[in-house]
Amino acid sequence: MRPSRVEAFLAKLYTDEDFLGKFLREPEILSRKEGLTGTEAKEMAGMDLTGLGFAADSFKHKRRGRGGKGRKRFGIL
Amino acid sequence: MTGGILSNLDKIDVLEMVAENFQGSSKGRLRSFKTLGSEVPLILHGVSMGLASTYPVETKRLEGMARLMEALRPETWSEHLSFVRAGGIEIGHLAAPPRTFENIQGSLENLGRAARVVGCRPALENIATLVQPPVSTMDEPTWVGGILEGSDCPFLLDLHNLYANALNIGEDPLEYLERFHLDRVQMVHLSGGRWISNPQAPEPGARRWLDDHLHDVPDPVFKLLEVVARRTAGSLTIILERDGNYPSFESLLGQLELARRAVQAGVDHRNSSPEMAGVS
Ligand SMILES: [Fe+2]
Repeated sequence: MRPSRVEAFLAKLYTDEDFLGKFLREPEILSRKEGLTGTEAKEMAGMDLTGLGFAADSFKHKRRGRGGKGRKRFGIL
Repeated sequence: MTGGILSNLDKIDVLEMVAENFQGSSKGRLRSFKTLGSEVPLILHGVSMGLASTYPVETKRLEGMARLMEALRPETWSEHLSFVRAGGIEIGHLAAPPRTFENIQGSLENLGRAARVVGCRPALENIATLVQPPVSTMDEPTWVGGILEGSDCPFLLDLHNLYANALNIGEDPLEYLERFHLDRVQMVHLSGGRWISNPQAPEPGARRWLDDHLHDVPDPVFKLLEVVARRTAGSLTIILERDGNYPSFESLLGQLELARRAVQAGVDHRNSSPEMAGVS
């Protein structure tokens, strides 16, 4: 299995604010520069940019948070 | 809150423990949780393996889970259908990968190794996502179904994650639910969330439903639970997730009671119309 370049590209978008900024300015050009194919780059440029902003914010918040320490999970059978 | 759980074990049938919280635990701490497991069944829940990926799962994470399974002897373990790292970058949380055949293939390879190293298959949980993963070639129900069928893993259906994803793609949650492999559901997660908005978003007025585990379970999620109980022939383990902003423990037990009623309503409906559950 060859690791997906798109997964790596998304991981960078979700964690590197400068990279995200560059992507929002020139999504297709940056995607090509990072090794995505022409089709992948086009799809990246057409992605849900509003959702991307929400997701990147949420990941940043989670990374700053306290991880799983406060979690309480219990239930019924 | 932990005190509330321990003093109400007679009203709680099962505890789900986040596996990563045991990292570096002393033998004494592990022993005390194993003892707790003799009073109430435990389930170990992983949050950082990143099994749904074309990147191979790290062996040390699988071995860590195997050691915990040995130390705590839980009923079973579960993990998410997500990637959490790629290309040497840690995202720090559960992310939805591009839903492709390659990703299904990578996930199945990871799940095969996970089952071999840990000793049994995990239940697989659908995640909430605020962004639709780009470069996908299939929708979420098809992708989840492909991994469940290929791996033969049980389905841990997080109904609030499903509810959030349906709202965020503009689908009716009940119709969205019907597109998943409900026959494979063995466990259910329930939690709550809220609307978030971003004035700077490219789409003015855009909002998304955030799965924050800080709010009560919304009423429509109990309706989804009733449908799941109607569709599944086996028993269901229902877990309430809460990560903060805690109400009184009575209020949390009240939500478990609502869950019991929803399951009962689904079972009653199934028994009154057996063809709905595929039972002859
Ligand atoms: Fe969950």
